[in-house]
Amino acid sequence: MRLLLVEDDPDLADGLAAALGRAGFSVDRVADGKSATDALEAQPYDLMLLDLGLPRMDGFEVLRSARARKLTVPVLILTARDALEDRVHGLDLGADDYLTKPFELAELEARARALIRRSAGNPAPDVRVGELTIDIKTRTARHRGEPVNLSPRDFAVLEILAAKPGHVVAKDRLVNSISTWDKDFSENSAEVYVHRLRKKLGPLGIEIVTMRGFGYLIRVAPQ
Amino acid sequence: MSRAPSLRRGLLARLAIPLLALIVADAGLSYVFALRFANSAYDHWLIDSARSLAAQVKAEGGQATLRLPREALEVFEWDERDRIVYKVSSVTGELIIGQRSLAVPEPSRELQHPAFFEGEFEREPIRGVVIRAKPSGIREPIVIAVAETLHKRKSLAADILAIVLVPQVLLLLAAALLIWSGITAGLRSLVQVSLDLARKDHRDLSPVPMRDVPQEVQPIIARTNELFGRLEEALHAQRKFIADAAHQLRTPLSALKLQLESLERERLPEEIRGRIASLKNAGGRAIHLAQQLLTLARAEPEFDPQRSFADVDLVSVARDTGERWIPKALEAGVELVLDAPDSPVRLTGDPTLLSELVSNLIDNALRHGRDTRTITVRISGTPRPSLAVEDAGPGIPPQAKDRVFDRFYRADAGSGEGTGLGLAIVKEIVSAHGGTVSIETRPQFAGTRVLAVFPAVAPTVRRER
Repeated sequence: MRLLLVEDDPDLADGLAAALGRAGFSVDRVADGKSATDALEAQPYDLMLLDLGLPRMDGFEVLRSARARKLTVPVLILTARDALEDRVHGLDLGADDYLTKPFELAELEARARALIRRSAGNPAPDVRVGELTIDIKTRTARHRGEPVNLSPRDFAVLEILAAKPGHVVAKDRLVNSISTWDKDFSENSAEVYVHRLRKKLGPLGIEIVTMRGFGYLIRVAPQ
Repeated sequence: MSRAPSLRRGLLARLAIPLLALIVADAGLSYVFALRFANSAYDHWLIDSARSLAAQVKAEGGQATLRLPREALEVFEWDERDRIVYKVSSVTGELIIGQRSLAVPEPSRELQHPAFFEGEFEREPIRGVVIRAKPSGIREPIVIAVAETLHKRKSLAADILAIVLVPQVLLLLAAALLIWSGITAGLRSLVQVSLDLARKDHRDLSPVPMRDVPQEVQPIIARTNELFGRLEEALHAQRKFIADAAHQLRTPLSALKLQLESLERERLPEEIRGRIASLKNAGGRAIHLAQQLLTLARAEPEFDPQRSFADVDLVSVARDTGERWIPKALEAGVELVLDAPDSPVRLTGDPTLLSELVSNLIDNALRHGRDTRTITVRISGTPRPSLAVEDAGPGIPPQAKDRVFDRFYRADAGSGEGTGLGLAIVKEIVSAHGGTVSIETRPQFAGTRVLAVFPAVAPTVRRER
């Protein structure tokens, strides 16, 4: 996966290039907007990491000219600006995602992979929670290779909770997503299904935590 | 204060002292004139008396004699207030009748022509008239003098003086009163100005209104307003500098963090890993501090946070922000609870700042609410939109309660964590939204509870925009 890193701060660029290189990306570095435009012209990239405050031509300008030339390369903006209007402006100009400095390396890697995956037309890979693998296409789940017995409703609940392991899913979001195809699914039955799923996953070392007022969260049960 | 020159007293002194001198001079002059007037009034009587005495002088054998019945003499000498004395004598000085001891000057050569004199009789000042008369049948003319003491005259002069002086003194008093009240009225607008100034808080450097201020005072206020303007600019530049500096710190701090994170993934001896961990911890705190400074600068009035105000649902802000804290709370073994109504709680505000508000309160509760099992974020829409974050921790010491909202104040200074800016940011954000923030702690509340109350949204006003 070829990645164009546009960042004028040499320390940050060094660190990013080294870390992303280790993570399996091949990284081309440029330090100003003009060189970024030239690099995009010269060859296709799977992803561009773009700083906004750049010499010679700022990040917004690079983005505008790339989109004007119909380049569809996914763009992840990295910037010290976190004002809402900057963020909206960047996304309006055709950026795909936005990370504010300082960011976690792990988050950058995850977002970079997600953007590349999405642009490759494969938005939903297998989802894992601990040793539980969830296959969206076949709508089955396996634990250490063994199939787990789940009803279609159980699976629907699991699919939504597991999309962001460790993050909370609001109850009304859960109800809304499932009731679009299952009219009988209501706020009360959500609790019933979460309870059932919890009983099935508990022995596998996976827990569903109720966060009062927020919703549910799936995670590997602490030892 | 009392040593400072007073406009009122100064003006009064300048007016009253010369006026008073003028009145004293005037009184002296008036008295002289009044006495002359009184003399001329009573002198006629003296002349009449002298002439009627002269008419009574008869010739008896060539000798001038004056025989008056006792009653007539009594009428002549009687007066309510003054003593009247007379003396009739020959030109050669021989007494015919009257008081021998009355000293009489030489009369006029002309017959019947009065000459006035002043002197003393029996140790009392007197004024008298002397005439020369020549009754028929008498060879030699005679000299007749009539004099009286001065009581009537002085009292008339005093009456006249009073009539002249009393209005003048009244005029002086009236002028003083008018000046006093005039200046007081003129200064009243200054009192308004000083109230306007007193009402300002330390950040309000807006100009003082110039309306109703006397022209003479306007330059002072204009200069004061100019000074405010320059101060405002300087303050603004300073705060902008803090915001810019915090902002500029982000990129190098990102580089530091990134390098440390990638270093962590290397195979390294345990001792080096420990050092990297503490470097990472220090870097993390620097990043947090820079972020807090930036948030603080943004919530301050100089940054005009109100320009990005919009219609916000406090419940979704609390939910979205709270969600981001759940992993950290779980890691700390704390249950984060959201207690909010099902319907939105609307207020006018900046969603980014409100999210920072919630973040700082949760962060604060996680840091200081040691051993708390739960942290509750409580939202209510009635009677006004409010947000409270509660923990069941040890609470804060009473002496720290008033200071926790101060910048860089830390109730538990030894703990090393935290920037000391969290609650200062909370206060700044709440006041940017026109709300109030308060803190409750043990023993009133079983833990610590920070409550922010916002003004209710006026539903019609916002639509105009």
